[in-house]
Amino acid sequence: MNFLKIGLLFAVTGIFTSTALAQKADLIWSPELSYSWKQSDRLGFTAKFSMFNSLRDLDNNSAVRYIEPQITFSYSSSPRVKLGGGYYYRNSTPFLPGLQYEHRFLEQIGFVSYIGDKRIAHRLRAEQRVRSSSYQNRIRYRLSYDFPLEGQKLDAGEKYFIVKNEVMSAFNKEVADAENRADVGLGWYFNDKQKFELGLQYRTQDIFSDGGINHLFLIRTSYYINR
Amino acid sequence: MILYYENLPGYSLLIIILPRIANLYLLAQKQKSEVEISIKEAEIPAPALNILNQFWNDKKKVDFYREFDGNSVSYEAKFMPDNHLLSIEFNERGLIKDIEQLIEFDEIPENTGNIIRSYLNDQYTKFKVTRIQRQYSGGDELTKSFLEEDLVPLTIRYELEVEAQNKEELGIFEFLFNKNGQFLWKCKIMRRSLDNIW
Repeated sequence: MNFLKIGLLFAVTGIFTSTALAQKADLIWSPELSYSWKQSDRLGFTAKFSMFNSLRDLDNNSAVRYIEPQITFSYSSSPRVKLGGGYYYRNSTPFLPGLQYEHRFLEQIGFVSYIGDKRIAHRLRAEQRVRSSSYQNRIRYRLSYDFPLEGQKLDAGEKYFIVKNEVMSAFNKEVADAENRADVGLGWYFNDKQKFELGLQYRTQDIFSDGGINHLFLIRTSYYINR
Repeated sequence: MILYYENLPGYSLLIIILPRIANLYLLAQKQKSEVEISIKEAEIPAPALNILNQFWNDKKKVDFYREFDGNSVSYEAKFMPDNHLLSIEFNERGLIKDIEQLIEFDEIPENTGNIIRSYLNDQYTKFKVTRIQRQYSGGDELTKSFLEEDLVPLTIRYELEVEAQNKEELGIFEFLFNKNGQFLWKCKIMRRSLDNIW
């Protein structure tokens, strides 16, 4: 039954993506590799590398919109609450002339609740984005839900489903705007050390802009490794 | 170490390698053993269904699972006959192993509950009990005794899931206490990494 619902959800998302293609909305493939390790029960670290590739520009040097290495840490103040921070470096259009970069600092708090092996997570994040061209603050809130597709517990070799939605507001002294990111994904849980997710994300950007809302569709492939 | 292997005759190398291959195989079996899958009623052994039929007059909605514990298969049926979720575990032949009843903390006898709470207070600076199951076991008479509420011949234990922390530890733990509240056993529940939702 779950598979039927999820198949339907992906079909609907596929229709959205096709519509996006027809409407010339941005279509992105974002591969990610994440490596996490725990220093203790309370302290953990994650190193991640991600890319943003425009599927419409595969025939030219602007196909790679950016590459982004990042490192974050988390401190568990209780079994359900994590505080954390981190740093991202973004190199935009690395194959075009001229260096465009961003140093991003973040602080975040997360809360997770469990219903069996189903998980609901809230994350509130503040970011300071120091770009080569401007400075921007951003506040983000994300709600995530994932659950096993077979049985009550997610065992090695089984699949899971994940759905997320994130709202955010970006602002500086001159401008402010908002964005929404809705994401559905299917995960392959190989074992407690490794998993893979295929996700489809729909971004509604520049919501308050006079120029109108931008639509972006993103195919996400994420590989997670834990130590 | 490598030199040592190189100096061995060919068959000795096999003697060294084969147990390691066997170990890898056993490791794979162990990983596989943790699998729990949802199954249909038709896949449950007939004796288990006969036992389950004693638990209701009108048939209830039941979820069935098959589990591998490393060496053997077991079956589990979960349903709600009244206000408590019941989990009944059967062995591979469909014979009952134990019954677990989901309860609230205040359904534990007061004295037993106080002993358990006192134990947790001594061990942790903060804790929160998130799930309690009363376990009944008792061999062949288990079903009859449970349904007739004749609990005297049964072994009763309490399984608690507890979020707890102290200076050394932080996490979610499973505790087992006997019917008098004496600590029997504890293990840490290894939750999935939060890296994809954090």
